[in-house]
Amino acid sequence: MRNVCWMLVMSGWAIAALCASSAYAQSVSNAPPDTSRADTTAWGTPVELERVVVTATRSQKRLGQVPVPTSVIDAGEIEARGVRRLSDLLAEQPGIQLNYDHGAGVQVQGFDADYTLILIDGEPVIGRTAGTLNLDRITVADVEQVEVVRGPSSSLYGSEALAGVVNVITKEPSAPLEGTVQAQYGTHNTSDASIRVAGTRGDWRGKAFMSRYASDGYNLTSSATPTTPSFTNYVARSTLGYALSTNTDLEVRGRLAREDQSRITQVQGNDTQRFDSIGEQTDWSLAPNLTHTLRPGTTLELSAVASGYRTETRLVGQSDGTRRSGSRFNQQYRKGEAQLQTALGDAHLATVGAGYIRESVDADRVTGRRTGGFVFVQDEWTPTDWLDLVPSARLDAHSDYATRISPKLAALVRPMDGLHVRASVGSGYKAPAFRQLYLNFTNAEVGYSVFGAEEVRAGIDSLEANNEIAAFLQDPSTLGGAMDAERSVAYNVGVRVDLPAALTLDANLYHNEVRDLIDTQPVARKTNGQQIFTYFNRGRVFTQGLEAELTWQPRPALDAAISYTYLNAKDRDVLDQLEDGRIFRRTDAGRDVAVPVSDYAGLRGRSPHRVTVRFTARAESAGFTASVRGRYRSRYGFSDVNGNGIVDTDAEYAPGHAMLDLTLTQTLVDDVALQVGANNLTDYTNAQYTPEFSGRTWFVGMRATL
Amino acid sequence: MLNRIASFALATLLLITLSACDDSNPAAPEEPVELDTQTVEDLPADPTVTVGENGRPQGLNQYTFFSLRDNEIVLESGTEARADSNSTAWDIALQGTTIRINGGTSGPGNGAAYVAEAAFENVVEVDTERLQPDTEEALAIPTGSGNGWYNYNANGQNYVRPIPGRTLVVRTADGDGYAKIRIQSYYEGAPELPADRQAHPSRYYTFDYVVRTDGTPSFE
Repeated sequence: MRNVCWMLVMSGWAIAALCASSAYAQSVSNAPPDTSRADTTAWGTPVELERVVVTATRSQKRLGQVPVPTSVIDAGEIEARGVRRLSDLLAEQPGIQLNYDHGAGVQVQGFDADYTLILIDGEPVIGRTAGTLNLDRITVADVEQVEVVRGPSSSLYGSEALAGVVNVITKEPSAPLEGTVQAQYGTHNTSDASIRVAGTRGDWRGKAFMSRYASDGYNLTSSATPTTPSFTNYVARSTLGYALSTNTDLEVRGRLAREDQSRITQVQGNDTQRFDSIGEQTDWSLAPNLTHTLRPGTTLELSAVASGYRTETRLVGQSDGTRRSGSRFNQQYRKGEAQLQTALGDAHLATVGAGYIRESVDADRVTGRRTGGFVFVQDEWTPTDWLDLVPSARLDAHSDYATRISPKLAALVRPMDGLHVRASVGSGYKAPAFRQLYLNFTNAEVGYSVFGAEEVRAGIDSLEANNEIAAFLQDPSTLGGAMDAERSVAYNVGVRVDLPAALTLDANLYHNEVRDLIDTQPVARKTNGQQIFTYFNRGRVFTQGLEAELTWQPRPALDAAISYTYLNAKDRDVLDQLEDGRIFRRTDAGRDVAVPVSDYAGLRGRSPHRVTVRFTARAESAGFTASVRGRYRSRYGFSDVNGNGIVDTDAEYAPGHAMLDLTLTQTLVDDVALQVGANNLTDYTNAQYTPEFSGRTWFVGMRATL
Repeated sequence: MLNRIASFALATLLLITLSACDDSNPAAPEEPVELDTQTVEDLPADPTVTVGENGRPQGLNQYTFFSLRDNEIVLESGTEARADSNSTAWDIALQGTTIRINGGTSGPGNGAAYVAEAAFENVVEVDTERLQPDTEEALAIPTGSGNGWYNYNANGQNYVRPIPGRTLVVRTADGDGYAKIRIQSYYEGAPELPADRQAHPSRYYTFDYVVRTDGTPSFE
């Protein structure tokens, strides 16, 4: 708590200092940063470098001036592909690999889904299961653009922004009256329908959007339990804005989503029983935001967010309707934040911000609450025409883990026309998950116990009072200290170069060094022979690679790109053990031999090679658009088969595979468009390794704009 | 001259080779020690006998006591009379993934053990310094995934897999013998992957071992 108070004082001081300094700064003669949105024509002619993005620096900036690896997918591209879910959209993106573990999550620069922050309109989305925020939950039907920043952005966003940030920016009302109706229907009875109505009147503007997404699910096996459940998902989003004066604007954004799932499941006991497995999920957010322009070039923004995520699952017997077991999870998130942005002279745009976060989780095994305060500063400095320097830093102080300072320095050099060189070094972190702090779990069958770092002292004390502890494996007085966040240092170096023949090459090399990964270790042995575990900071990994994309746009209506990604992600502790000859495998002849370092596949689920291709052609006069997307990932470590805990033999890999998606769009009269598409054209399935792919699917769709 | 040297060398070489090949080398002072690898298949270690609430398997919570010296079960986990457990007739006791040795807090014998991080074939000498009896604080063969002889759930499929390159080195209960053990499987029938849980129930050990009973801490 002292930390938080101290931080509020410090942030107040920082804001006051900045106000004072900007007041003394010379009058702001140059124009403030461009605040207009980049134009998008009907089907999204890319005007790449001119496009305005907001995620990388928390300020409006042209894509060509952003010093960190950033990519944008605009509404036109989303419409041309006919995708409706964020997961489907990102699956086709260069530099991003979708992995499916308790939902569809993104792998950015070789990190699991836990390490990428997901934002909608700049505010974090909560509700992760086993670290994955399921991107199927998020519709892109009313989205203006999706920005993906790769590399750590903890210096601006704090926790979770260790691998990158995905920001889904919804469409703002821009005309007196707008309306869009979209509908899609396809394989597995999958349907997606949405309506959006928006308008402006005088000082008021507003938007209401609603979508319904449903599917029967599918079954790749002969089992009675389907591979994926049937579900119905509703999303509602709304915005209400009011210009209080020419300088002051108030906006309230709301979001509500609900999903119901159901599937048949069998429990094998002395006799086999059938159950309906029912899952419900509710997700809401309310975010008021006040923007006040103190004078041209100086803006103060006050914002608050309240959001909640609640799930409930239960098994209901098919024969007798009795409820067998259930689980529930309730997460709440509150944030208040102030951000001041001001131009200092001709060469600086300074941003300072501070805020307060309160989070709580109430679930069957985990109950906890934590608070934290933060302050961040950033200076976008243009010392000369050809150089931009962006230093930034953020301090996060929390009630239940150690204070973090996350600095970052990014530079953009433009030595000549058509050549951009980016370089950045920065630090990222991820807060301990609630279970790592507050889990209180004893396995009823086997009898072992796992406690979060905040619970372990009390848990051990109570077991000791019951004489259930046989021996301590570590001095119990050393347990339960403040846990550290998982942290990284990252280096990114990239170029963007215009080549002849309408070609552009964008390439980025990165290296992430990660420490203090949280893992369990036994701390005591119980009288029943089982152990007590708690969480420690101990793991070390690195990820490094190359992300390269070559785009070809000979004319606005023709756009093609090919990308290649190389990834190498390994556990340093495993590498040490391999070098010491301490990891073995059994040969077919039955001998145990030390595994050569070169046979180690690295972290699981990482394909060393990934290739994507994309081709969009528009015949403007005929109103016809064709979009083809392909992607390939090479084989990746899947599971340990030979017992040594690592992936080192061919049988332990999942096979590489390719996907091809096609969408054709025909515009009829007055902004009415019909669409037909096929995903996974080559009908790739593999029930063992990739149950998330149901095989080839078809869809038809329509879109009408008022 | 050259010929004579060559034939002499050849003869010497032949003599050395022949004598090296000779099993009944009269220079060997004692009878040869038998150091054959013995294999124990599907040793039950308190296997599931009932299915409890929510389909959870349950055993009897009793150990199976095994003699490495005689390659036989001294006391099965299912036997009701447990008196034989308080003897030096057994060397190791197994229940689930836990292996105790007959020494320290686990039994009246003089047994001890350690886990060597080396291939079974390459464990030729017993490092007697490392031999530990079971204690209240820790078992000589540590329990828990990744600590002793097995990994659990390393593949996300809830299998118990023996870790390759882990050799259990055991002093027998009488304090005179030494054994090295390589566990091959924890599932009945020792399948490569026990995907069919019905056909391959857990808590059945298959293991190879070599035992030497003449007091020499070596397997050569």
